[in-house]
Amino acid sequence: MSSAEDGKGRSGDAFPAGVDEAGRAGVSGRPAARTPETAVVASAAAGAEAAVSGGAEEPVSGGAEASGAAGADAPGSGGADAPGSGGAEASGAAGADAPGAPEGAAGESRPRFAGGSTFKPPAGASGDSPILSVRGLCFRHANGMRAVSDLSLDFRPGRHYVMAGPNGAGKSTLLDLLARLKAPEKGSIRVFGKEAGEYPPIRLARLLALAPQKFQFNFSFTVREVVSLGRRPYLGRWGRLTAEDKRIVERAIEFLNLGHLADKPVTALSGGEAQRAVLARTLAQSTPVILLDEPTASLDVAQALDLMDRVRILTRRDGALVVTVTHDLHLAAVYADEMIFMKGGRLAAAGPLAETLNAGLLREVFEAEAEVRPDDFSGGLNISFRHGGERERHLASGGG
Amino acid sequence: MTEAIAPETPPPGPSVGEGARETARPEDAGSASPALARRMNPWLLGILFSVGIAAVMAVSLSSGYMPFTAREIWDILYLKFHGATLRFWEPLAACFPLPAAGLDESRILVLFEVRLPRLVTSLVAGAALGLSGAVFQGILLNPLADPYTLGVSSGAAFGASVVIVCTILFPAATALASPLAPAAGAFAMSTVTLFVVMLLAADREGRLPPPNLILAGVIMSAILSAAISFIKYLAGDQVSSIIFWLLGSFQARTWTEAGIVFVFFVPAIFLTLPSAVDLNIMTLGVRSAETLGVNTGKVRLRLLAAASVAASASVAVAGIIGFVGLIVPHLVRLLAGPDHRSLIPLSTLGGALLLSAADTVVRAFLPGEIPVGVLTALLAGPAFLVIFRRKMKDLVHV
Repeated sequence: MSSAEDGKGRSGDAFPAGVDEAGRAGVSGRPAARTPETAVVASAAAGAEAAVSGGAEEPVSGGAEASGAAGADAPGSGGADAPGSGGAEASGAAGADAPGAPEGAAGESRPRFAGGSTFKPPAGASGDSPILSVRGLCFRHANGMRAVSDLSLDFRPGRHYVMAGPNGAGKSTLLDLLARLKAPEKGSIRVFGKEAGEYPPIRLARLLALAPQKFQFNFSFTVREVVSLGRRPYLGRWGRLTAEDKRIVERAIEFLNLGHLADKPVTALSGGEAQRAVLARTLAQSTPVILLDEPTASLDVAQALDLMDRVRILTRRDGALVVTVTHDLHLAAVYADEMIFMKGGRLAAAGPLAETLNAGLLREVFEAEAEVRPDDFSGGLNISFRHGGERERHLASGGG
Repeated sequence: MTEAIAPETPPPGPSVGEGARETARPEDAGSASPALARRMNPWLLGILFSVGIAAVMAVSLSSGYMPFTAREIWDILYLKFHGATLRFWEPLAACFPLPAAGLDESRILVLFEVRLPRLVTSLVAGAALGLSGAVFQGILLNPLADPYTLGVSSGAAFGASVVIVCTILFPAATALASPLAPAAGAFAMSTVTLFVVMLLAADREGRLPPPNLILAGVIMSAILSAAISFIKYLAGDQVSSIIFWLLGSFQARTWTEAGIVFVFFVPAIFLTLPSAVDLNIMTLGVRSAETLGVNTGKVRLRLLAAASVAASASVAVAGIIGFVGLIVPHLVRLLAGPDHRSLIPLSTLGGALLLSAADTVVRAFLPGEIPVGVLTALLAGPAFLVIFRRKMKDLVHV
């Protein structure tokens, strides 16, 4: 239970009081789906906390640059050069032990992530400092269209960042840039203090995993085989799995509740099952950073909620950093720790959920009328869109 | 079989199509209805294929117009190989009585210079086609691809036709009269075609997206087919020599042809096998593969080049033999699963088995001698249809 307490401590600033209670209430409300993984991954929890020790809670520093100021030199963005010193800008936050013994902590803590493999953070990463930071990022599509302009953001471990914005806002492009599927035109992306492009692809694949939104299964691999492919960054040329790899694969399969499907061909799965198989493959990669591109797009409500509960386990208990792109603001309002709103390739707002998601912002970013209230049950927010009803009558009568 | 589960992109809510797919097969979700992937042990299949190949070799060498006994075959092989290079035969040979003295020279010639090189050529050409079919289907994410998808066969046919028509039109060009000249033309043109197809298919970042490759291959094949028709027209009365070459046959193949295809086949297998794991990952899509640290561009280029060159070499020495490269990887995948680590070597063995068996049937057991390419198409085609039909039924609800 120490992990849950820790999660509570860390989330204290980001959430209204009681959020974690509610979060766990939601968990226990679905005990059948829950119990196996909690048992399976429980052992993995212990190590993760070492990495995310500091109680310092700090809004995404990119929020400061939201106005469009040049990111690199903006105040409080020292993380670009010295990621370890990120705690400095957390004014007033209890960052006491973060700067305390950065090297020692980094060297000894070997957090175990989702899959349970030991991961050793590179020197320079410690405490609550950002493990992924973006500075002055620009990207232009091959056809010359600007997709991302001058973006600066920091991502800290143990938190769930949800990226939202209208179609064409550059969310997926940003995710591609983070995953190094595209090379930035300008600016830097640092993963554990080192430029993403400087990592050999295999090394980067051990730090950062992406569950793509579009995927295809052309051949009848079994679910277990597909999940096993996630171990590739750790394997030799012939891809022989060690006992440890097999355990991690099984754990990822169990975590996404795919046990009964493990030996079935992926070509026979339904859309939701296939999506979970892809996620299990991503988790088997055992990375501290997990990027999810519209993970709930093909899931029904129950599946989506279940998935988000599991993501919460990854961040809260295992200390993973999860970045999700989604169109589902309702889910985001419940499950996000931090929101990143994008519009037209620029940052519209970024920061803790409660501070960013409000009616004014929804109007500005999505041109949607809504009412945003704290949600007592989940501890998150509740969005009620004010469309239909009067507005419908207004539109029907020729109003704009 | 080509089945893509791609969640539709933009609509944020559950779209109609999505909902329909989910509800269409609720019983699939947890129950036993999606059958477990039943598979054969790849090693067992490999042993079966190897035994099959050994049996075909024995049957092929012994039967035909001039039958040979097992003892005679042993004696002739011993005579040819012993003492020269293959010293490792010696201890084995010591277990048997020495070859009977006075083997008939003409019989030695028939077995060692006619029958054996033909058998070896068919084995290696079949192996090359099986290998390249497996690789092509994996890279192009399309179980219906074959070694000829990128226009290798059309290029080869064009090259061979040009050479043949030159020998017809310009009898003075004696250099082209060599029996190997069409093969050389075929190999050169199929390689050129491959490069043109890759150039056409490359996108801005120099990647080779599978749909581009397939389209570029189809376009080049169409253009070359028209050119071949024109050449056939030029050949006039002697068009049959072109047609016969195009049909594919192992008749009168010598050790030279066996050597040519072998020389290109061996590097191909060494280039493709170490990439089998990456190929597995690439079947999940480029984005997944790249985030798993696979350099998809490099792997795809290497695999395409290796597989195409192996296929080109096979076409150059044997002509266009259809269906082997298509059906063998398909069957192997059905029996032993889609893992390329086993699929590639098993398709290689299976291709060798199928083509050598077909050639043996054509040569020794059928009246006259129909081109082996016709037999493989006539036998494998309907067999493929049956498999395809069966899979179609499975796919109705998928």
